[in-house]
Amino acid sequence: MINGSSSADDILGALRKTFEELFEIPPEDVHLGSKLYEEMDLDSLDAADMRANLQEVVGRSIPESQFQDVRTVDDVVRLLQRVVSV
Amino acid sequence: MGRWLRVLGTGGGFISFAAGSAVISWFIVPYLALRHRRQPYLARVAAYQRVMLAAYRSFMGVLRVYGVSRFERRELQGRPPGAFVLVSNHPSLLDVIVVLATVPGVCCVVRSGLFDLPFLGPLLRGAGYIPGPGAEAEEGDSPILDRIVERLDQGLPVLVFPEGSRSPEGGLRRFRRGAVEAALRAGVPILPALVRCDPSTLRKGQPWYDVPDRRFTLTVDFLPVMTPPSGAGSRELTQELAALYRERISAAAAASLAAGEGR
Repeated sequence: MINGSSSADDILGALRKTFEELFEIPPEDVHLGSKLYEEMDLDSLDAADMRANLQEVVGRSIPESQFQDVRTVDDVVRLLQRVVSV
Repeated sequence: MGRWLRVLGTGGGFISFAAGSAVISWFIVPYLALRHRRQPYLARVAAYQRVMLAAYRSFMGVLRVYGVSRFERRELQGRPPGAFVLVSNHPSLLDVIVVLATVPGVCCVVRSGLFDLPFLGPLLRGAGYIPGPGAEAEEGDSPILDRIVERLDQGLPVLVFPEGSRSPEGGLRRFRRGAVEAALRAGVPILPALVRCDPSTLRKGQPWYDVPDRRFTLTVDFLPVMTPPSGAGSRELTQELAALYRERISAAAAASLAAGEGR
C-alpha cells in the first residue's frame, strides 16, 4: 500500500509489480527514465488499465486529465506522490 | 537454388511490389474511381478489395516464380458472415499479404503517412483501409480504436495484429487488448489466423538480403472463431486468445523439432 509516507523507491517498487502483472515487463527493465509509450511500448488502452490498477494500489482516484500528461515512469511516480499527499 | 539467386529474387520481389503498387495506383484506381463513383460505399469498397485480392495473390505467385517463397493458399472454412475482427500473429513482413490473400474483403490498418501519398492514398482509402496511429499516438486517447470500430459497424471485417508489431523468432509479443476491445464494442466475432513462416525470415530489424538457407514457406491456418460472450472483458479474452496462440506455436515448434530429429 502506498501512502503519504511512501518514498519514491517504494512507489517505484509498486510500479514494477504493476508493470509485470499487467504488461509482462520484467522489473529490471523499469527505471525512472523509461518512456512509457516509446520504450515500454504501451498504448492508450494499456494506460487506462494502468490507471485503474494504480487507483487500487493507492486507494484513491487518479484524475484522467493528470494521467494523460505522464510520459515516463518518473512522471507516474511524481503523480502518485501528489495523489497520496492530498 | 543458390543463395545469391534468392537474394536477387527477394530484391526483385520488392521491386515487383513497388511496380505493381504503382500500376494499380496510377491506372486502375482512376478507372475504379470513375466507374464506381455513384455506387454506395460498401459496393465501392468491394470493387477496390477485389483488385487488392488479385494483387496479393499475384504477388505471392511472383515470389514463387522467383524461387523466394512458397505459399499454399487454403480455402477458409467457416468464415463468419458480415463483419469480424481477423487477428493474426506476425512472424514476417509478408503476413499482411498472405492473410489478406487468404481471407478476401478484409480492411487493414496501414501507416498513416501512406494515406497522404498522391496515388497510393486513394487506393488505400478506396479499399476501406484504416490510417494507423500517427501523431495522436502520444495523446493518450484512442482514435485508432474508434476508426476500427467504425469499419466493423459498417459491416467490413478488419485485420488487426494484437502484438502491434512483428513477432520475435518462434514466439509472440505481448497481446494488446485493442483487437478484442474493438470486437466487443462492435459486437462481432473474432477469427484467429495463425501464420507460420518456415524458416523464419523478414523479421523486424532483419535486413531483407539476409535470406534463409532455403526457400521459405508461408502457411495460414485458422483457430476456431471466438464469439465473445456479452459482458466479457477484453483483458481476460485477450489473455485467453494469447494462450491459444502460445499453445499452437509451441505445439508446432515441438512437431517440427520431432520431424527434424526423424530425418
